[in-house]
Amino acid sequence: MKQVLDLDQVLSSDWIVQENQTIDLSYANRVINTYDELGLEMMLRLQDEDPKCNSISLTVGTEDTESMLRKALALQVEEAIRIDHAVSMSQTPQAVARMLCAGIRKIGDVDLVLCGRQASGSDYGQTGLILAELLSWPCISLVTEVVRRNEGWVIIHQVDDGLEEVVVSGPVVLTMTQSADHFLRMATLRNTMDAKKKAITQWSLSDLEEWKLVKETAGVSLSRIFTVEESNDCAMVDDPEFFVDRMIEEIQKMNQSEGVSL
Amino acid sequence: MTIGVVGEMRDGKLTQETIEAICRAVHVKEQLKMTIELVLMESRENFDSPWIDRWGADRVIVYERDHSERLEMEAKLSTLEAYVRVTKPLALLFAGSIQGQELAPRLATRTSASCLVDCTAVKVDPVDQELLVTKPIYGGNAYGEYSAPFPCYLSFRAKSIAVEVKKEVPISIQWRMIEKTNEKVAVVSHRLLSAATYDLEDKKILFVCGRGLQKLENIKRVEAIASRVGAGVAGTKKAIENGWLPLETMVGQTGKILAPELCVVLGASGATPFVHGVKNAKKIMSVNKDQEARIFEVSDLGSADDCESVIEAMERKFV
Ligand SMILES: Cc1cc2nc3c(=O)[nH]c(=O)nc-3n(C[C@H](O)[C@H](O)[C@H](O)COP(=O)(O)OP(=O)(O)OC[C@H]3O[C@@H](n4cnc5c(N)ncnc54)[C@H](O)[C@@H]3O)c2cc1C
Repeated sequence: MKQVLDLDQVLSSDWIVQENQTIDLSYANRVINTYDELGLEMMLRLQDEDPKCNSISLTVGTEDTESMLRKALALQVEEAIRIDHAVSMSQTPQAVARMLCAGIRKIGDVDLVLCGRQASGSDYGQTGLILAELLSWPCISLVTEVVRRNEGWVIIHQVDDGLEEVVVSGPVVLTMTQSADHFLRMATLRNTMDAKKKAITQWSLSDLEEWKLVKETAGVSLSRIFTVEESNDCAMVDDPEFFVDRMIEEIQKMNQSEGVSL
Repeated sequence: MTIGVVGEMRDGKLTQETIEAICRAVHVKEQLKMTIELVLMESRENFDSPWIDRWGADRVIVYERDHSERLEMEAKLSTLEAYVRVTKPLALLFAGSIQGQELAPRLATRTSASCLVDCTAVKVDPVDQELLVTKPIYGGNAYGEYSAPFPCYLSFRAKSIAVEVKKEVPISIQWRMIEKTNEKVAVVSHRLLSAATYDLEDKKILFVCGRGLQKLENIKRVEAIASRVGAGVAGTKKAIENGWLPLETMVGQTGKILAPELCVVLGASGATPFVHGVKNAKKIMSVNKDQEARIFEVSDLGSADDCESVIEAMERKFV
């Protein structure tokens, strides 16, 4: 899971790149990345189905990501682990995937890893895919549903041809995408209070012996951030009827050239 | 020096995303002399060569697959690994499809290449002889320019380049065998549950439904109006999550990038990841009861009204 800023809150006028190549977004709330929330909810559903299933939330981040992990604990995730490392905009997905890979190996007995397809911020959209490669596990991307069957998983995911069901045996990495009615459940007040007292496991990179053994691949480096002004002069109309009339005019203009009438 | 384009075909034709990737390769070739190789994994039955000439590839390598068998992701990756071993391309460009966005990072990890997906521009850095690649960051609210050392694998956001038709030239086509994987296959079975339709891409008029439409019943009303005017109906992420519309109709940075002539947006806030999916529309007309909504910043015409009153007005005219 990754903690990110709620970018929907940021006003258009605040996207200003400062001299030091950063954007001041300090007022935005910290939230669980929207696609990781889907993974978290999916894990909780698997746990509801099979109480023997152990659930763990794993993140790479500094101490301020602990509120996110506590939210997961309040939702009855059994263990929360934080790999202590500050993830910046210049961090490559390879580097983060290496840390997660070492963390998963340290946990040991893992059958399923759920990640979001992408996080807002650097928007690399690669971490889950690279993680699967580093673990030498299969990867199913853009997953909307997963259920346990015998020793494997029945997974529904999005492909270029539509929606596909795959059955996978053995451990697998899934990257989650949006689907209907997969909203993250709410924690009860009592569980939220209890979660405040629960311990969060913390590992430093030096605790992860395997970290350095994971193959390092060449990375890209961020050299410049910029914004593009994309604003239109929007004419506002007061009357819905007038809005629809204008819409009809547009459609008629389009159709005229093709000889079609409404 | 070679730049490879990993192409895809649908119904015997190169996909639009593949053609866009070839055009990107042509653009890179203008700055750095290279041979462009189009790499396909296709059966002879599906392959019909004449149309390949026009887009600017110098050579086509087709890894022959069995027409009746589905090609597993693992087999595709092994085949591309073999291609990389033999050719050592300086760059590999992937179609900006779901498959292309998955193959690029996985192959890059296997073959030690740098990688970026969802890119919108690329140029050659003449000093450092590496690629300078632009891609949206912060949900498309800003852009990052990255230096990507060779070998470098990229996939591009759909419709982020205008496709230019090059004149026809003779082209050599080389057939090779697909790599068989000996590994234990983890994917036991698969079946298509619902087939994607590509009709939203073809629609001249698009109605987009946002969370502000409030309930499924209102989406149904919009669908009825849309069918009357021959429009497509798409949704924001929130509309899909509410179960109002199927996943494949989602527009935006993680959905479809569409470019209709007229786009009518109903009850969407205009969050940037969404706007990226519709901003190529020729005309955007939006309804949002919040006068300050960001959607108006990218619209040509706006109504700060309740969606329902606009739907009612449409019904009076159309249904
Ligand atoms: C990494 C990432 C990728 C994303 N990719 C996408 C993507 O591809 N596509 C996408 O859509 N989103 C995407 N999102 C989500 C995006 O940031 C927004 O959250 C989403 O687009 C909001 O959808 P919405 O406008 O329908 O809902 P809201 O933001 O909730 O907006 C609803 C709007 O409706 C208006 N409204 C309410 N009631 C009425 C009424 N009765 N009449 C008129 N107006 C009304 C409100 O004023 C409000 O502006 C992504 C987010 C992230 C983090």
